[in-house]
Formats: sequence, structure tokens, C-alpha cells
Amino acid sequence: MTGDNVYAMETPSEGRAVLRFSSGNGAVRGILRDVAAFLALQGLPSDKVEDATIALAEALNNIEEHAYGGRSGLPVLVDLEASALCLRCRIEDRGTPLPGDTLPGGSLPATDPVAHEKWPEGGFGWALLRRLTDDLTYHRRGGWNRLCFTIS
Amino acid sequence: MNLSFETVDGVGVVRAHVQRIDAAVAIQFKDRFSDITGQLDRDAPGPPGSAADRTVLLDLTEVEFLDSSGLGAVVAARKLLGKHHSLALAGLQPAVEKVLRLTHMDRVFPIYADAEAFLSDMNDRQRA
Repeated sequence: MTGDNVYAMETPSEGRAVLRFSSGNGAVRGILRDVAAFLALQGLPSDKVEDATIALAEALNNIEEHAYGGRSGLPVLVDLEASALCLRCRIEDRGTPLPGDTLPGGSLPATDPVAHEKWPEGGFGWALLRRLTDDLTYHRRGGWNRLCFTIS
Repeated sequence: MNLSFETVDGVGVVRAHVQRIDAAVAIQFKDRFSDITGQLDRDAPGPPGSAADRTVLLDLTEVEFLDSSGLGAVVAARKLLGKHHSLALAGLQPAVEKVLRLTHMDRVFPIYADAEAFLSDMNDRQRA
């Protein structure tokens, strides 16, 4: 199953949205689309909605590919609080902790314009997250990874 | 993964007819790019000064969203072309342009506003 109806989205109060899905079921695209619509509805400016969509895509891809290592059926939670000025985002999963229980640095892979054969094909994800977000934090607690950030 | 390839005035143009190049389709993008550009003679060095017909354009006009996996696939596509070709990009929508800029990959890919600007530049070079 892919695409629609593979995740649950609740809006328990004004400006808040909570999404739950299982890894490996192709939910990410639909989530990004619905979150973008939700944020636009809160009045968040379109360039911030764009930042949020890219940041969320990177965070969720990291969970599916690294924390869960491609395994399916494992829980992911996304909790959003948004206004016209700001988005606060908390993402939780039960996968492998980040190495050293700390956030990777945001440094970009070195790129020599001439030596295309050495151009990086990965390593952009955390650099993007750090550049798009404020207050990026990571905690490991009770078997859960918790990633939080703000976009304003 | 809908990619098309055509030769315009002797210059190769790949068009991506998809809204998203993301983790879900990154591998298909790379495979399809390899298939459709297979007709290029990747190993043959061109005649001196023929930069124009050795540059392939990837037209991303229809692509609204590119994540880091998609960017990795575009880099992989450039590598597939080998040392005698280069890959230019055109038609970057705002979210795509942002990902390239924040990762500094806009510094290594030649970038054009659209396919017309690219072809015009190639024509100028061929005449030069």
C-alpha cells in the first residue's frame, strides 16, 4: 500500500496537528502534502511552508532509511504546532539512536567543481535540516528518538 | 519515472515529467536517466572547443520538489555522463532552487533559467 490513507492525522486543537504512521508504507509524500496544506491554512508564509516541507522530508527519510534501516511497520509520530509566524515540530521514532546520541554536524561534503567523479551523492540531509531550521535538538529517552525544531 | 530525451540543434535535452524527485523514486530516476542517455557516446572525447555538443541539459521545469535523495540522484546522473560531457540544469522551481543553493550544489552545476536560455548559450558557443 502506498500514498493515501496510510497515516492518521488529528487536529486536537487550534494550530496543532498530530500525525502517526508506520515506516515503509509510502506515507511520507501524502504527509508532506497534507502538512503543507495545514501550515498554509494557519497563515504561515509560503517560503516557510516550503522550508518546513523540505525539513520534514529530510527528517522522515532519515528515520526510514537510518533509524529503522528500511524496516517496515515501525511507529513514527509527528507533532506540529503552527501559527502565521512560527512552526514548532517534534518527531519521534523507536529506531536506532543517532551515533553518539548526538546530532550530526551540518557540514557539507566538499565539492570540487572540476572533479565531478568525486561529487557527493549523499550527506546533504543534516546540512539541509540545520540550514532550514532553528533550535534543532535531539534527545534519546525511553527507547524513543525525539527530534525537535522551529521554523520562523 | 517519465524522462524524455531529445536532441535540439545537436544538443541533448532531458526533460523530467514528474512533480517530485524524492527518496521514493531516486533510484528509478538514475536508472531511467542512464537508459535514455545511453545513445550518447560517453567515452568519446569531442573535437577541441566543442563544449556545446558535449553538454546535456536536465530540464526540471515540471519538478516542484527535490529532496536530498533526489539531489543525490541528479549527481549520480551527472557522473553517468562521464568526463567528456557535462550536465546543466534549467527550470528550477523555488523549492528545488533552495535545496541546490543550501547544499552549495548550485556552485558546481551550470544553471539556466530555462531550456531556451541554455540552447541560446550553446548556439553562441558553437559560433564562437
